Amino acid sequence: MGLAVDVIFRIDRRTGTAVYAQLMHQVRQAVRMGRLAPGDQLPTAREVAERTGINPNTVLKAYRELEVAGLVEARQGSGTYVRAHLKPLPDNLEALRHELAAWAERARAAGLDVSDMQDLVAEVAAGTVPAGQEAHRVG
Amino acid sequence: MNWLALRLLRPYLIVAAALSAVSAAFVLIGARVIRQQAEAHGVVVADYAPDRTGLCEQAVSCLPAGTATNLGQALVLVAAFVPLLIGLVLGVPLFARERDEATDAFVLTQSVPRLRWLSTKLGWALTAGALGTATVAVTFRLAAAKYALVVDGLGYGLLREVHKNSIGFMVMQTVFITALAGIVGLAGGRTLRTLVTAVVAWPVALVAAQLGGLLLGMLAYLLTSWSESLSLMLGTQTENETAAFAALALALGTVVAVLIGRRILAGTTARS
Amino acid sequence: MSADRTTPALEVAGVAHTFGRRRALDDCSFTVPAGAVTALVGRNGAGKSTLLRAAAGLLRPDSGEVRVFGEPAGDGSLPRIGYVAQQAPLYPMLTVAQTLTVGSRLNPRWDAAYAHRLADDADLPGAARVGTLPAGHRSRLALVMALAKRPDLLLLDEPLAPLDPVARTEVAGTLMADVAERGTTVVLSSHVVADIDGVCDRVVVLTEGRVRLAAEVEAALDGHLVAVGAGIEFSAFDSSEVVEVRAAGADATALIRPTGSAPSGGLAWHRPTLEELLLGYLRTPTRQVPTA
Repeated sequence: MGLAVDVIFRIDRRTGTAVYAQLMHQVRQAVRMGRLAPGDQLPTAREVAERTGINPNTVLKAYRELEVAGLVEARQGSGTYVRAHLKPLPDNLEALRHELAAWAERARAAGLDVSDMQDLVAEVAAGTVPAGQEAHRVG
Repeated sequence: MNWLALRLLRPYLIVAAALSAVSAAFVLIGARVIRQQAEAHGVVVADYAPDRTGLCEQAVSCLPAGTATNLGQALVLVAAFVPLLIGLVLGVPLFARERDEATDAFVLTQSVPRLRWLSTKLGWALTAGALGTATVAVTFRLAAAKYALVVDGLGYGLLREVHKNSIGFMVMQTVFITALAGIVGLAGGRTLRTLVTAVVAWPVALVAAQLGGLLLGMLAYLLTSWSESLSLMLGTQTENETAAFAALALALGTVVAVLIGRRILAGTTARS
Repeated sequence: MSADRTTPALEVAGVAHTFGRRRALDDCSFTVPAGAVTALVGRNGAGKSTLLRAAAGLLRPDSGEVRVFGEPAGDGSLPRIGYVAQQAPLYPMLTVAQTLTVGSRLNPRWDAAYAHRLADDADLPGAARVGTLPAGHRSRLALVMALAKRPDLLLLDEPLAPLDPVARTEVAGTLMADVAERGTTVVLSSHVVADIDGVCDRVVVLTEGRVRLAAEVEAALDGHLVAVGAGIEFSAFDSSEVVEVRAAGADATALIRPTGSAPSGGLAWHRPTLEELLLGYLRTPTRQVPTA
C-alpha cells in the first residue's frame, strides 16, 4: 500500500494551492488516468500521513470533499473506496472543451503562457474574483 | 530513578570515594610513621584525651622534629579540608551542571514528580558525602587525633577549630556543604558561581556553627535545669560535647538549606 | 486515546513573563483543541521557547495560567506530555540503549516496542554514546523519547531544525502517523514555512511576546487576500483590515483581512500562500496603520 501512496500523492508545498486541494486533484487525476479503478481502496489517512508527513486531518478533509463530490465512498470501519458507479461526465464535455480551446487561442494571442492561463482559470473557478470585475495581474 | 541518579553522580562519586580512601590511607600511614618515630625518640604520646594535650605543654610540639612533625601538620590539614572538598565535589555539580548544560529539561519532563527526582539525587549525594567523610573522620579520630593535639602553632590551633577532632562535626560539614552547594546550583545554575559561593560560605558556616553550637548548648543547659546532674554536665561541656552541639547546628543549617531549596523549586517551576 | 475531546489540550490564558528586564511573554492567550496540530511561529526571541517551557511546566510564568487538559501545567500533567527542548537535551554519557531504558523506568506509559521500532527506523546505534551522535541523530532520539512516552500532547521546540531533508520527511511522517493513530495533539515551533504547510492545521503567530494571530490555517488563508497595486489605493481600506503594506516604488503589496465587500480599484489579488500570510504577520509586530 506504501507504493500506492507514492503513486498517488506528491505534494508541492511552494504553490499557493491548499494541500487538501492538491490531494483531491491527485485522486481525481489518478482515477482519470486509470491508476485508481472503481472499487480500489484509497490509502488510509495514517498511511498517507506516515509516507508524506501530511496532517491526517488534511487527508481526511480531502477524502470528505471527494465523497461529497461523489468520487469516492467511505465504508464504515473499512476505508475509503473509489465509487463503482462514477458520475458520468457531462454530455456537453466536448462542447466545453471546444469553447476553452477557442479561449486559449485568444489568450495565447494576447501573450499569456500556459501557467498564466492556468492561474486565470483557477482564479475564475475558485470564485475569488468578484463578479463583473476584471482581474489583471501585476508582476 | 535511583539508577539514573547514581549514573549521573558516578564521576563525582568516584572522585569523592578516591579522595576519601586516599585520605584515610594517608592518615593511617602517617599516624604509624609518627608513632614509630616518637617511639624511636623515646616520646610516649598517650591515647587521645581532649582535656589534655598529650604529654606536652601547651603550644610546644613534642613530636620529633622533621618527618614526624611535618606529618602531624599534614594530618591536621587533611582533617580540616577533606570534609569541605568532598562536599564541594558532590554538591557543586549536583544540579548546577545539569542546569548549565540544560539536560534538566529532559529529566524534569519525564513522568516523575520533580521534587522526588531532586530529593533522590540530593539524598544520594548527601549519603555518599557522609560515608566518604565518615571514613576519613573515623580513621583520623581513632588513629591520628592524638598526634594532631600536640601539633603546635597558632595556625594549627585554629585549624583544630575547623575539624574539632570530632567525627560528627566533620561529617556534618560535608553534609552541609553538599546541600548548600546543591541548592545554590539549583537556584543559580552556574557551576563556577556555585563553587565560589560554596567556598565563601564555608568559613561563614563554621563560625555560625560555633555560635549556633554555643546557643544550643546554653539552651540545653537551661532546659535541663530541673536535673542537677544533667545541667552540671551541659554547663561544663567537654570539647567533644561542644563539637556535638556545633554539628547539631550544622544539621539544622542543612535542613534549612533543603527547605529553602524546596521553596526555590516551587517558585521557578510550575506547581504540581 | 484517553484524550477528552471537549477539554482543550492546551489553554494559555493571559500569560506574561519577564527575564530580568526583558519581556519574554506579554498577555498571551490562545487555546489548542485536542487532536490539533498547531504551529507556533515567531522570529527568534519572540517567546516560542518560553511558552513551550511554560506548557511543559518547566517555568512558572509571572502571571497568567497554562492548563494542560484542564490541569495546571506541572507535575500532574507530566505523564501526558512529551516535550523536546530546542537543543534536544539528553545525557551525553549514556548510550542510546541506556537512554531508552531510562525512558522506560521513568514513564509508566512507556511503549518499549514502539521506542525500539522508531530507534531502528532512525538508524540509531544502540551501543553509541549519545554525546558522540551527530546533532540530527540526537534530535531524533529526543523525539523517540517523547513519542514512546505515549503522550497526549507533544510540545516540540523546533523539532525539524537539525534534521536533513530525508530525516525531516521521515520525522514528519512519524509524527503525523502518531496523530492519525492516537489523536495526539501537537504543538511545534518553527520558522520554516515548508515544515508547517500541510502538517499543521492551526497556527499561532507570536511577535515580541504577544499573540498576533491564532487561527485555523485554512480559515486564515480563506480570510485574507494579498492585493497588489498602486500604494494610494489602500486608503480605501479600513485600517483595521490591513495587516501589512509593503511599498516598492509606486506599487505596493498588502496583506488584507477583508471584513466587508471585496476590494475594488486597479488591484490584483489572490488568496495568500501560507508563507505570504505568516510573513505578513511576522513583519509587523504591532498592528500597522498604512501610510500612503
